[in-house]
Amino acid sequence: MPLGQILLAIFLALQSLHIGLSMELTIVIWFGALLSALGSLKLVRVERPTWGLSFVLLATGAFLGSQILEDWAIEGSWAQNNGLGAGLILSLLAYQLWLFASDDKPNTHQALNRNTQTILVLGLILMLLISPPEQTIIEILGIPIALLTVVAILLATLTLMADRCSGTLVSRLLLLLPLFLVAPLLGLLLGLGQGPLIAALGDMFPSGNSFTPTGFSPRQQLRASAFLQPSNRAVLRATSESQPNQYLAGNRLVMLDDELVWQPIERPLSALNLSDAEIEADGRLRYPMENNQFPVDSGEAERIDIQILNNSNFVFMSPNTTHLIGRFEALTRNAADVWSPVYDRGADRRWEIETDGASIADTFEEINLQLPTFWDSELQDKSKALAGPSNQQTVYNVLNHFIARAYSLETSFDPEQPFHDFFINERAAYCFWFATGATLALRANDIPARIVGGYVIHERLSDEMWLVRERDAHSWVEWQDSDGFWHTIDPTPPSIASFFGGYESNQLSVLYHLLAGQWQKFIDAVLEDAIIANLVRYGGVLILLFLFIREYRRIRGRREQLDSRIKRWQKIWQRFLSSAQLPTNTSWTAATYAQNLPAQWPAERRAAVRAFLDCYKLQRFSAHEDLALAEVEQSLAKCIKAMPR
Amino acid sequence: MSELADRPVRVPSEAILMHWWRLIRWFSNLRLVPRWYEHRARFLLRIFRRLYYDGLTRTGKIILICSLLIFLLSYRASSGFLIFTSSFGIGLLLWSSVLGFICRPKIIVTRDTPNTGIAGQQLTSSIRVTNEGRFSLHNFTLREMVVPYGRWPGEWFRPHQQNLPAGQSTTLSVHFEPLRRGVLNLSGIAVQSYYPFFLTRFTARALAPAEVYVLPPTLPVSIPSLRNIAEQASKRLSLGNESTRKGPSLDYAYSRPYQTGDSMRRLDHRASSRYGEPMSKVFEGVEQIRRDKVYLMVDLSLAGFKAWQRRPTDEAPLDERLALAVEIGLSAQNEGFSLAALAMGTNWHNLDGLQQFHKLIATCKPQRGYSEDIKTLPDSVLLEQGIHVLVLGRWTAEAEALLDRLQHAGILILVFLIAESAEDIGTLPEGNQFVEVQTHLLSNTNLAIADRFKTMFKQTSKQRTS
Repeated sequence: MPLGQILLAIFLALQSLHIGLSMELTIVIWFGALLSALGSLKLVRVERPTWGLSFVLLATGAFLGSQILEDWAIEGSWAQNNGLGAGLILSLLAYQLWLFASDDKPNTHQALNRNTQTILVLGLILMLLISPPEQTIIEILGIPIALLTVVAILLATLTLMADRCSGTLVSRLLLLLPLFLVAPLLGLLLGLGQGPLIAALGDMFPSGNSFTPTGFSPRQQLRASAFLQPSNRAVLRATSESQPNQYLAGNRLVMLDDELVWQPIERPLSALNLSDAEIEADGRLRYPMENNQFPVDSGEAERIDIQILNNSNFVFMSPNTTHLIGRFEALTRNAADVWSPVYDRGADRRWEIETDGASIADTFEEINLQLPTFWDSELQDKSKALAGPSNQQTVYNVLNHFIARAYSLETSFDPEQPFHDFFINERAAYCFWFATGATLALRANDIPARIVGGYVIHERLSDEMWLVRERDAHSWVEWQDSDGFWHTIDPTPPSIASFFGGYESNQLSVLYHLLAGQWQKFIDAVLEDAIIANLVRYGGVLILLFLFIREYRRIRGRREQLDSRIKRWQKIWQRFLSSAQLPTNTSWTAATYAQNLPAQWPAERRAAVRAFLDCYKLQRFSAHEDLALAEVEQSLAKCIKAMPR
Repeated sequence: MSELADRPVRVPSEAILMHWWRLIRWFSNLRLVPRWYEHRARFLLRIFRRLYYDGLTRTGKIILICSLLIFLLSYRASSGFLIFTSSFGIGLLLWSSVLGFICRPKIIVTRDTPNTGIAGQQLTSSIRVTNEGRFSLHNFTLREMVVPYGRWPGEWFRPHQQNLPAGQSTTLSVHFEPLRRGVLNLSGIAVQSYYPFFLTRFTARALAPAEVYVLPPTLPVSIPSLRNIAEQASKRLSLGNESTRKGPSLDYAYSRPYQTGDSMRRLDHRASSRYGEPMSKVFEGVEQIRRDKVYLMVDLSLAGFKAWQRRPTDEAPLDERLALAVEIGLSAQNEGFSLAALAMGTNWHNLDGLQQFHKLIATCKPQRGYSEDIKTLPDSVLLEQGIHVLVLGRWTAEAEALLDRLQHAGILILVFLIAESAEDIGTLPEGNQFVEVQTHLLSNTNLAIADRFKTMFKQTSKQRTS
């Protein structure tokens, strides 16, 4: 066996070890090593993977990874968290093993072997970019080395050289020795230069400071100078049979500090777990939520299904949510007063909000009346001017005051006293400023109020489906009445509509999200029944398997057909030569034989042989090989008849 | 997409508005981004090609990219082993480049390249490489330097020479595949050394210019025997006056197996009984002498090549016609004829040898043939003796007139037609001297659709008349 093949098998086994250790799947190590050894022996003839077969292999890997590996992998391993990625990597490994097994004996007359290069390239990508397992990192002379990765690079180099440096391999290997001196020195240099180089690279990119992207942020700061850039990136999709409440609250903030940052109420971190939840018929958990909103009798309880479309791990709820339903083991309320779910293994990032009229009064908190330190008589006078005979009237006055003002995405206030500039000079600003102004104005009139951050639902995809994008991030206000119930008001002026007009959704994006929503609905309907879900799951695997076997059989069939035809041609030629008793001369063609027929042969025999040779010459490379073979065989039969017995 | 070379020509007989309209259409379709081979190799691009594209093998490229990624992405992780992995990869490539540079190829190259090639078929040059350096040259391959309209075999198919000691020579085969008819100017040979680790490549470029005349792609047809067609056609021509033929008498030369169309009068009964198969007598005389030479006339015009066009949109029909001419020429040579002259369009060219014939075929330019008034064929023949073969793409009035003229003068002319478009199929008159060769540009499906349309229109016109 060529040395290059042995080294390539070791490279593949090493790669299996790396991937297996990284995924914490021992079976990958053993299978990889076993298949590498078997592949190098070339016991069975394996067809080379085609594009179609490679695609089916990758698709199968991805499908099995997402459906099976997530349940199969060890708890906490990355293969469990990213089953799809792990499946793809395993299918790439399988592809390399297959390529190795299908490779014929390498031809050393060529500088490089295509299959070997493909295996090495894929292998090196996987081994260099997948973080090495901790147990393979060793220290030599105080230098930490990822042993498997370094050995893989060396093995790749050796594999390329092995069969093409016969007689000089040892001297060539000696040339590698100085590398072990060069590499640590270079490592030292790279370590020193890494920081400055990355800083210089960072300076080359344009800075994005001129714009502030919109979106929900747990802690918000009032910035004197800002230019908001609305983003059309989708955040979540809401599905409800009736028109849902247009507000989706993320958190509630109560205290504006000296840095103009709104802070949540100070309370210990809380969490809801299984013991707090009820189990629904479909296995989901139903967590109770505290609803302190002013009770509105809306009849039956309403449910809104929300599916998150970005990477955030926050829960957004309608202000009057009484229950939160989903597949999460626990719900935690973090320091920014935002609920974060701990999803079940493999569960979709979605939840359902249940709202109804049932609510309880909240206690009065002093903090909801607290004014910031910069609050002075000028601001107090301006706020007092909005006071009415009753709390309700004061709220109306405050609301009317702000609603009448101008809206702008760009603010450029006095950097020393930005809030004064906004509030006293009645400058244009965006929702967060209006919500802050209204909250503080209400508090100045002894009405408890707080600011709420979240999203507004307004983009309708279909009768029952809405889409929320980053540009829909919003702030509004809640005030507390004398009974302790909270009321939602939105002091942002209606001219915000013109803002939405300037950042309309792309029609293609709307269509995509509509189709994605409908597809999700269909999948939900299918997966509702466990039997149908399993049927679909295993049916998918079977279809992929069927496609794989079918394509493989087709390729093998074609090869066998080609082989059988070649054999048939060879058989015809041998039969002709033996029956005509002509010598075998591999450099002669049919035409050469025809020109050099023995002169002593009778004319009849010469004519018959020549007829066969002409027929053979004409038909040997015909496009219709089956017909050609039949014709040549007939011609041979005639020729043999004319031969002396 | 149109290119600068496609800008419309002003036709004086047409309204200027028409010209403007064509100019607008041309400009709206104009390709503004040059093709990859049209880029002038600027400094940065040249460095990129030298260091990355040419300088690294695929494995080397992956080691470099991954090492750089690890280096950049490990900043926050601040893991020592990541920096070491990165430095090991980069160090290996640097060390390999240094060694490769020290032992870089210093060579002299002489080439032996055939001066005729066929588009789409591999042409093999024999390259003699002499190592002029002080060290042995290890692990190297050869390839042609990149020129437009040429394709070289992939890295996997280039022959690999393990060692060439200093001062010694070796001969290697280098393959390339011309892509289209024309003259291919090969500039030189690139010698690539994979020394020492097969991760880096050092390329030495040696100038060795060569000119290759590229013939059109071979036509997959078998040309019927010119001798047979000529004999049958001459029988047909002399049918009425065979008994009254004037001139020198014919002398018996030899007998050969009977072929369809041979006169029963020429049957050699003695030879037939001796050989056991019918044999015909062959006579030497004026007829045989007259047919010793072949004169080829090729119509270079394309019906779709309009007056306002600088070049035709599709040269494939002409290439196919020229390929047929090449096949006829070669077939004539194989049958013992000598190719005496070639008429390309209206001009005759005397042929000294096959090389000149190939050169003319490779370098000829298409002619406009949008109107029957344009002359596309020669008025007369060079000599009245020999076989004249006319190769056409469509049966025109001019060709018909030429044929009549020559036939009346008693000159034997064979007509080969390879249809330029679906309408030209089946337009050739019937007769022994007319041969229609099936075109491969018009697929059977297209022809079937065209036939269906034809029959449909015929039916509707019949219905209307009834």
